[in-house]
Amino acid sequence: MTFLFGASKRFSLPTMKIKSLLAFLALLVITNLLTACGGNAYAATSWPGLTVSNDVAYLAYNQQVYAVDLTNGSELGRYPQKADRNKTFYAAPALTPTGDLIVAGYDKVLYSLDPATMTEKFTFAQAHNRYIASPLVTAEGIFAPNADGSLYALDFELKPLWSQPFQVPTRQALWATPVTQPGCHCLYLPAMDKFLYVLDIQTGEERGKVALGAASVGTPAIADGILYLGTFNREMLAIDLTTRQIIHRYPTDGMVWGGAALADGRLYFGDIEGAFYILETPTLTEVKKTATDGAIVAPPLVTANAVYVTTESGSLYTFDLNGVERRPPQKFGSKETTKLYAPPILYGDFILLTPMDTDELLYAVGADGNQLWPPFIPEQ
Amino acid sequence: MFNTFIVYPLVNLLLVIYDVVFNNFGLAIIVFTILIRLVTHPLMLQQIKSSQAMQELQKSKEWLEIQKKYKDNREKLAQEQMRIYQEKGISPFSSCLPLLIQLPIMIAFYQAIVQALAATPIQFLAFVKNIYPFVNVSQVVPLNSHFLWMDLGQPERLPIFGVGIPVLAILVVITTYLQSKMTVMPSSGAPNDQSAQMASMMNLYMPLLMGYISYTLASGLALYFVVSNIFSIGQYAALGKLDVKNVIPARWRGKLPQAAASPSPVAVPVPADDPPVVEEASTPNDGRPTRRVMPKAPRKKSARGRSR
Repeated sequence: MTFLFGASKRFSLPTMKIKSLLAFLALLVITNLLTACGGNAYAATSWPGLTVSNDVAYLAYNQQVYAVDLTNGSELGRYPQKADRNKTFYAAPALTPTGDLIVAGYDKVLYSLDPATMTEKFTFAQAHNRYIASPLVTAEGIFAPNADGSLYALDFELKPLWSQPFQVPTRQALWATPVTQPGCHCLYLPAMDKFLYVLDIQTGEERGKVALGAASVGTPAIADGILYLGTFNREMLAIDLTTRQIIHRYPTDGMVWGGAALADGRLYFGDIEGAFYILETPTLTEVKKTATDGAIVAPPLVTANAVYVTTESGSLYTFDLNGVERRPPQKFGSKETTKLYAPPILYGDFILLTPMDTDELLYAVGADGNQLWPPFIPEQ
Repeated sequence: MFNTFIVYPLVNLLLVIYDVVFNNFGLAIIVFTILIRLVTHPLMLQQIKSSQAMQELQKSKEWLEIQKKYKDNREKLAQEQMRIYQEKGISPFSSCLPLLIQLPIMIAFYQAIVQALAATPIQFLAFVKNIYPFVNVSQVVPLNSHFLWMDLGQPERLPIFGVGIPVLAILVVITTYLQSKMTVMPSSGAPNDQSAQMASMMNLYMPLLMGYISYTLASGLALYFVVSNIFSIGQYAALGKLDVKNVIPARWRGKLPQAAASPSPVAVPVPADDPPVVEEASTPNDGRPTRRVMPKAPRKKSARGRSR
């Protein structure tokens, strides 16, 4: 490298100072680039999370959580007021029976906000890693899965309910929201360690577990004592909750990331190869399989007469309940790179969509494809 | 392109190793690092040889003479330098080329670890979509990122008396410093050797910056840095190119017994019109001849030449 620095040139202090400075700056740039590779607060590392209640949408994305008036698409408030690069939010917020908004952060903190003012009421900061999944809120409390492999059970003031959180033995991450079933006083918790755990909702003690054969990050669907869950092993499983045995398997083209939607005895879901499936339950018999233009990572939205599916390519597909396309896929976002990873949410007669990698954060789209109001773009 | 042909194959190789070493990602990183270091060893060897040839040339009498003779005519100086390069059959780029080839491999390696450690949904989605069909996905994904006391996907802290000590980041600083000091090529001995000055600055900044990266990013990367540094030191040692004495500060070396004191070459800033006398010396430890550059005339003040 000697020749690069011109070894023959006469040494002088100012020259060396400049070169020293340049060398330092070059290293600083390299450091910054490397740091950027590891992810930073400004580049989105997940897709938006959305919850709707009483004409208000609570949208968690990147550094803030927005409250949006769904009647006109205007912003009602945000948390925090000023973006903080140490705080990022992606999991869909959840509302408690007491009316508080629970927001799970990538900063290892669970926040309870007053949704009217979007101000902080309580926090829980004992987790060791990010909250990837949304917390489950029931009448019993808040159940927040964390990437540190623990499920934290909290009351509505974010105080621990269990003597200690449930921890996956291998400490593998929890990326799926648990589900419960009326009358069972239990939680079904899929884990990255390839097991589905059954927990006592009162104590957090393990009642049993089912080996899935692969990791699972989707929220399970339950009907008639059967739990349906997709895995990274490219299959959809039907698990009998009484015997805790896998009773049916359906092989898919790709990994199943998101949960499935259940309606009228049929299971609707997609995989990351972009295939959309409709299966009969509980036998997992195929009714229809359709290719789309991109990975499907969100559970579809099933309404009375249509199924809405979002894809990585930024498209919204509309099928009838038999999987026949009702109209051509509709693209969203002002940028080519726009992605629709988040699930569509029903609001009255409209579908709420939250794209990423674009300026527009929220769309309200009618069945005919028209928009209720111009897309919501948060003011900087 | 870079991802398709370099990064993704490395990611998949890392997964295969992970599967082989009992699904232990820490061990996989260590094995992977050593493997990559071994693969790039011939390039490193070539780089060392080329650097040595360049520096031998720059210490030669002929080279030093033309520096003096054409110090006011840079064009002519460049012509003469090129003539010497051609006569000696040395390419000034030959020491740089292996480094340039190694660099993308190391960057890809770094990227492979970052991708495999995918800690967020977007990273994970990108990661799983690029796993080759022959890799047993359901078996290896997600990677078990726990190794010793560390979560390799998180910055590392070892709790000692309630205080989180960044042990790995400290090790990165130490090993980077040791590596840069012990494996540095001897100074050309040429007057006003700016490359030595640059190397000296790098020796100071690089460990600190690497330490900062290790302190803030996933500890899997810090593990890679530590293993890579230690293996690199080992490589130089195996080649007999390790200069342990460089670690000892110059001011202390003089106080050590002669056998231990550094006889390594020193670059002494001397005026261009006061050419140094180059004399042969031999190192007592490895027998390889080196040259020591001595100021021609005694100075009123003691020479403040720093090592290298």
